[in-house]
Amino acid sequence: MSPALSPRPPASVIGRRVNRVEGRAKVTGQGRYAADHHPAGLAYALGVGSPIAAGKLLALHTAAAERAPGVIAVLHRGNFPKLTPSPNNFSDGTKVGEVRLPFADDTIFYAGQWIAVVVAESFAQARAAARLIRADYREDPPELSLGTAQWPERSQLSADAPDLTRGDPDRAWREAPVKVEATYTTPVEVHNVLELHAATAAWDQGKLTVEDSTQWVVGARKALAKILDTPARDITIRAPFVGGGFGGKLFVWATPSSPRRRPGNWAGRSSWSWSASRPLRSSATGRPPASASKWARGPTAPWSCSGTTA
Amino acid sequence: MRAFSYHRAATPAAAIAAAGSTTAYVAGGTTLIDLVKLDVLRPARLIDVNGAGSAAITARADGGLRVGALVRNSDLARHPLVREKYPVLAEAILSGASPQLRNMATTGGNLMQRTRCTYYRDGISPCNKREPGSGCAAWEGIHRSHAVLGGSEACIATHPSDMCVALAALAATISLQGRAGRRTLPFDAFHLLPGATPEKEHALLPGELITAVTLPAPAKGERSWYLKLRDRESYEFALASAAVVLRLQGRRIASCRIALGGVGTKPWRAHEAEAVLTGAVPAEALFRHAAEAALQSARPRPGNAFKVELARRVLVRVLALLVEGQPSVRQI
Repeated sequence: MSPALSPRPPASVIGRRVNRVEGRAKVTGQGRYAADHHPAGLAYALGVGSPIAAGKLLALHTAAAERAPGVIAVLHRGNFPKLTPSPNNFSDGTKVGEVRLPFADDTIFYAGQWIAVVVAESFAQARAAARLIRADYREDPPELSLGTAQWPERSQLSADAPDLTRGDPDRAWREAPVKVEATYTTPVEVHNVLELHAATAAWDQGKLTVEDSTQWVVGARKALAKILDTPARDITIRAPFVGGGFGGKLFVWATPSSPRRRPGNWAGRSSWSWSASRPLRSSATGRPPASASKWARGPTAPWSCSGTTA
Repeated sequence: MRAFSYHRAATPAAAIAAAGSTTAYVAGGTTLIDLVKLDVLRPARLIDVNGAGSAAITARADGGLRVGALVRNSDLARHPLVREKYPVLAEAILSGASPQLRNMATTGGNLMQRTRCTYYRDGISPCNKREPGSGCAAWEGIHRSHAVLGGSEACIATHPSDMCVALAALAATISLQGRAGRRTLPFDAFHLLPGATPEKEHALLPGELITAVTLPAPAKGERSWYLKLRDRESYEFALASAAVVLRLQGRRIASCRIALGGVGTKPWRAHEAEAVLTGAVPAEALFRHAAEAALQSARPRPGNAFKVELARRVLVRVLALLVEGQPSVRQI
């Protein structure tokens, strides 16, 4: 005999219309997102994206932008402080969206990749100056199609990809009496978040507070501790509101990882607001790329799987 | 930063007197302010015309309706006379943009709405509309949303307005005021085809200001409707849309006017389809024949070829709906 269903507890939210706890703040504009914080003396930084998708950055012309009204600095490979790459390990919380640090080299891996960051007194001034930056490139043929992308070798997979091999797949495959093989593809998915990727960071007596647009504050803290070579206990990540993430804000991108501490800070500023402008939203930060997976199995063989993305 | 000055005009005459070659009129600002922020439009001076004209909707003695240029889209769509006599217009407005944008956008401004071609808006790509002579990145580029009717090798940018498609089907008249005085233009003569000069989008003379849009009196028994097909059901531009104004007499179609949206470089009046339908007995095969005629001159690119059939089908659908009866405008 099945137990009688107990009546729904009066406090249950199931089946009832319940306001979001932050609903009032959000619809009245009181919900302050990462870029809504403007501490005194804040400087505004805006990334400048590469218009080409593959090649080398040969020269960067920043003089006009540096002279533009309100500009404090133009950061690029030539003057950017050295950061430490994150170990990028999911299980210890240091997974990042992009292992390569901003301005680590002259190679262009994708359209929209930051080639410079303009820092100015206001967002509008940073945006206006960013339009004055010119660059010379050597353009290589970009990889535009999953169909022509290379299947990766096992050694090219990320360092923390677990080895799930059990038994002897090669032998089992050779000896399988019936074999099933298939390739599955998925299209690219673009996260059209309403709140763009942004971070407002402030150093105060050796301690860093970042208002970050992130879905994983603990991970952001651990990854930033590595990247900025700062004890995690000195870093606070705050994200009371996230205006859409869809997984695209799980891991640290360039926005919060750039406020490197150095003596006196850049141009004497201790507070930074970093933003990805809307056209860069879906290029300088991540999304699930198009993917292909090959699956093979014999009735007695273990699954075998390899994948590629573009 | 690019500085500009701002001038608030109190009357149309004052606005026109203040206009020059580097000025822009601003009303709702829903297109202009975006494009100034993107550095695509670079006016040295903005002339705010919000206080310089009519925001009234007035019934005319002849049964028509005069809509002041400053009437907000939301006010126009919810006006009882519009909902009753011009359902095609209410439905077109309500299928466009978002409530916030419709609360700001004006009737005159909607006529001046700019294309959503991403190459026009990105400020970098070759674009003959933004920078004459620089080429058209869309021609060989990503042109899924671009026009299949009325384009040229210089430009295939789609006209984005829903409201204008309804106004084309209603055969509205546009009232203008300029340095040389007042004049009117038939709706179809207002927007220009891109040809070799896509930067020239309309027939306005320098400094000329839109003051009103007049809708003709609907004929007795006239029905009208707008249907829009798009990638998502809200806050999205049309892939293909159709506005139809139609009157039945006995078993036959006594008169009809048709315009297509999402597929043309301007709000696209389909005279060829009207000729097929006028005087004929409604039937599925006839609608299909009319739709074929409407898209006869389509010149798609590889990425937007699907729009030709999509536009035919949306037109067939609207014709079938209207022959059955007058659909009701959505509630707001």
